[in-house]
Amino acid sequence: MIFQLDNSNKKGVLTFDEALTIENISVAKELFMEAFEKTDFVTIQFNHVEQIDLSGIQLFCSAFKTFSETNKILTIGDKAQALTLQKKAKQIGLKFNMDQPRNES
Amino acid sequence: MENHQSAYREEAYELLAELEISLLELEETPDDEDQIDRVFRAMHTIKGSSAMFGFEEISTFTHEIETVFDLVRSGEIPVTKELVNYSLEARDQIIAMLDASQGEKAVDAKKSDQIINNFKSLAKQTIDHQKTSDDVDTEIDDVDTEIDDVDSNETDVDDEFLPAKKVASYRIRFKPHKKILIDGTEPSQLINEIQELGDTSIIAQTHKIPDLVNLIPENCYISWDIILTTNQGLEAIRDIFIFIEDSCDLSIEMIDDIEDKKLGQILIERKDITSYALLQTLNKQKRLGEILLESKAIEKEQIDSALAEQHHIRNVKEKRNQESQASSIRVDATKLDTLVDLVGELVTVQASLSQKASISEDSELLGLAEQVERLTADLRDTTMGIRMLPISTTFSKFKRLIRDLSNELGKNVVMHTEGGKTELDKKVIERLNDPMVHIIRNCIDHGIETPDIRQNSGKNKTGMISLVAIHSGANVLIKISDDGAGIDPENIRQMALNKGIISSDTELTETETFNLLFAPGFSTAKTISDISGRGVGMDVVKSSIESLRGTIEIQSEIGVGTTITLKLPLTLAIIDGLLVDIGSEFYVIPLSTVEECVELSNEDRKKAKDRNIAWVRGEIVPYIPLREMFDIENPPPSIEQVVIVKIDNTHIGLVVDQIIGEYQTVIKTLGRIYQSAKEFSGATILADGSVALILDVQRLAHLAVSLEQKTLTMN
Repeated sequence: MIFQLDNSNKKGVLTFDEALTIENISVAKELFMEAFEKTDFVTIQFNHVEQIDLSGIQLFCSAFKTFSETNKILTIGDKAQALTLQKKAKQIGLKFNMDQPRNES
Repeated sequence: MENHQSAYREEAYELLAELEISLLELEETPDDEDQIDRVFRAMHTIKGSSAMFGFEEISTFTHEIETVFDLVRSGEIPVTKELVNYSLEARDQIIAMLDASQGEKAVDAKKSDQIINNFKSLAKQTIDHQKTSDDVDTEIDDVDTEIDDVDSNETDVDDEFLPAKKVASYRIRFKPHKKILIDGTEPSQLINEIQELGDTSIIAQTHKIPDLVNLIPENCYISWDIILTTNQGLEAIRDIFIFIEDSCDLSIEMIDDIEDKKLGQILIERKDITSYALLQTLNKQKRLGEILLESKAIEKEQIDSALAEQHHIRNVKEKRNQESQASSIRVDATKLDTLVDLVGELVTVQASLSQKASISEDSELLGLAEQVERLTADLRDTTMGIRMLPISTTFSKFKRLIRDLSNELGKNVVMHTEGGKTELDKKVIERLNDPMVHIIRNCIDHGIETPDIRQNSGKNKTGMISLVAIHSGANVLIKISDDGAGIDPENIRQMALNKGIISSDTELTETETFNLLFAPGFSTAKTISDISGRGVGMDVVKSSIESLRGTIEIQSEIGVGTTITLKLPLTLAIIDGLLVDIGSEFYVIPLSTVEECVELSNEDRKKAKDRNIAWVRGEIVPYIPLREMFDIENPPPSIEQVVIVKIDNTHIGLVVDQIIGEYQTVIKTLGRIYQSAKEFSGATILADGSVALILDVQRLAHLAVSLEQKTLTMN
C-alpha cells in the first residue's frame, strides 16, 4: 500500500494492493494520516484487495468522518469498488456515504 | 488467542459428544427432522467456530459433511446406516484433529480424504440421481462445484425445509470489548451467522469511532443492535456468541411475537431514555384514556378493564423474558476444585469454632457458631451440588461403544438405560469411564450370544445391555446387565484350579466363585479376542472401583444373563464418617460402610476362646483388632467397641477403644511417604487441629484375610 501526490501536489492517491486486516491496519492508518495532512483531495484505489476485515472498515469510517469534518474530499476512484465496499459495510449494518468520483471539468 | 482456542476446543469436544448421541439416535429414527437439524447445527457450529479460531483443517473438513447434511435436511439424501457410519467416522476424525492440535498424534490425512470422498460420493449419487430423474442432459464434471453450489443456496434450502417451529423476535445488543479484534475474533463473521438464522435488521452503532488522529485502529469501536426474527430459539443465538462471551457485552431479549410497540416503549427497552424522563414528557400531554373519557366515547369501567388486561400481559411477558434469559455459565473445572478445597477448609475451621464455642460460656458466640455451622453446611451442600453431573453424560458414550462392538462381532445388541438423571461427583464420573468400558466389552464379547445361538435358545435375536443407576443412601448403584449366556461357576472354578489360584479342596460360595474373576490374570474366555479376554482387565476394574471407595459385585445365572453392580460414593471430597479412637489416636470409618456397633468385653473374648470373632444376634462376625494391626501399645479399655462394616456382602468387625460419633470428614490425600500404608484412604483434620486417618475398610479386610492366611501357613 502506498500514498502518492500528483504533480500538482494538490491531489493524492492512496493505493491498497493487499488485504486490509488487523495485521497491517496500523500501516494503513499512517497512510491515511499522511494523506490527510498533505492534501485536501484523496482518491482511494484498490488493486486486488481480497480481504477487508472489521478493522479495515472501521478505518474507512474514521477516515471518511475525518475528511468530511474538515471539508476535505476522500473518495474511492472506481465506482464498482465503492459499491463493493458499501455493500460489505451494509451487510454488517454500517451505513456510510462515500463520495463518488467527481467529473472534473 | 490461546484462551479462546482452549475455550473453542472445550466447546468443540462437547458438541462432538452431543453429535455422536444425535447420530446414534438418528440411526434409530431416520425420519426425525429434529435430530437431522441437530446434526446439521452441530456441524455448522463446528465449521464456523473452527474457522474463527484458526482451525482451518477442521473447518474445511467439516464443511464437506455439513454440505451433505444440508442435502439430508432438505430430504434429498436419505438417512442410511452408511451415512451414519460415515458421519461417526467423520466425528472421530474431527476429534483426532482437535487432539492433534494439542500435540497428540498427527491426523492421518489419507483417512480424512477417504472420509470426504465417501461423503462426496454420497452427494454425487444423489445429484446424479436427480439429474437423471429430471432428464437434464448436463453432465456433472466436478462434484466439488456442485456441492459448493448447494452450499451457496443454503438460505433457500433453509426456508423450504425448516421444521415448523415457533417464530419469535429477539433484540440482540452486541457490544464487543475494545480488544476483541486483537484476540483474533472477527465480529462481522458473527453478524453474518446471525443473519443465517432468520430475518434481521442490523444497525451498527458507529458514533464512537473517533477521527483518524484519535483512532487506535486495532481497537473495536463499533457495536450492534440487531432485531432477529427466527424459529431457531434463544440457544441457537447464544451458540453464535459462545466463544466470545467474555469479550463482549451481550444482551439477548425476546421481544415477543411480532408486535407493534409504542415509540416510548421501545426507547425504554433499549435503555435509550429513562422511564422517568419519558413520564415527565408524557405528563405534559393527556392520556388516551382521559381524552376518551372527556369525549364520552367510552365508559371508565371499560378503560379500567383494558388497562388490567394490559397490566396482565406485561407481567406475563416480563416473566417470560426473565425465563428466557436464565442461563448457565461455563466455569473452569479447576476453579470448582479450588472452591471445594476451600469449602473443605471452611468445614474444618467451622468445626473448630463450634468446639471452642461449645466450651465457652458466651451465648452470643455460641449463637454465631451455630449460624456459621448452618451456613457452612448449606455452602458445602451447594458446592458439592455444583460438581454433580448426571450419569447420563457417561451412559451416552457407551451407546457408540455397544454399536461398534456388536457390529464388529456380528452380534445384535441394543442398549437400555434407566436413571440417567442420577447424579454423581464429576470426578467419580470421569474415573468411572474406563472400568465401565471394560465391563461392557466383556458383556458383549463373552455375555451376549450370536443371533443364531440366541435364536436356538429361544431368545430374541437381539441382545440387550442394560445400564441402570439408582440412589442408595450416600451411594449410587450402577447395574450393568446383559441378557446373554451367563457365567458358569464351574468353568470359573476349573480355571482357578488350573491356574493354581485355588486348590481342589477349596470350598467356595457362588459369590466367592464369581469373585475369582477379579483375581489378577484370570480369564474364562477360551479364545483371546481384541475386545476382551486377555485376563488383565477385571482385577484392574476392581481396583479402579475400589480406588473410588466403591465396591463391585457379580451376579449371574446360566442362560439368563449377568449383572455387575458397582456401588459408588456420591462424592470423593467430603464424606460422613464415624470418628473413633484407639489409644490416643483418632480414626475415621466411612459411615456408608457401617452397619452397627456392639460392645466387646473380656467375657466375650473368653467365650470366643480368644479367636477374633464376635457373636452378634446369633451370627458369627469375624473382627479385626485394629490395636494389634496398628501396633498400638497402650492397654485397651475393659470394654472395647466393635464397629461392624459390610464388605462384599460380608460383615466384618473393626475393634476400637471408643466411638466418638458422626463426623463430617473433609478428605485430604496422604503424602507420598504414606503410599505404602494401604489400610488408609486419606486423612482429615479434626476440630482441635489434630489429624485423624481415614480407614480403607475394603483394604483392611483384604489385609486381615491375608494376614490370617499367613499365620495359618506358618502354623
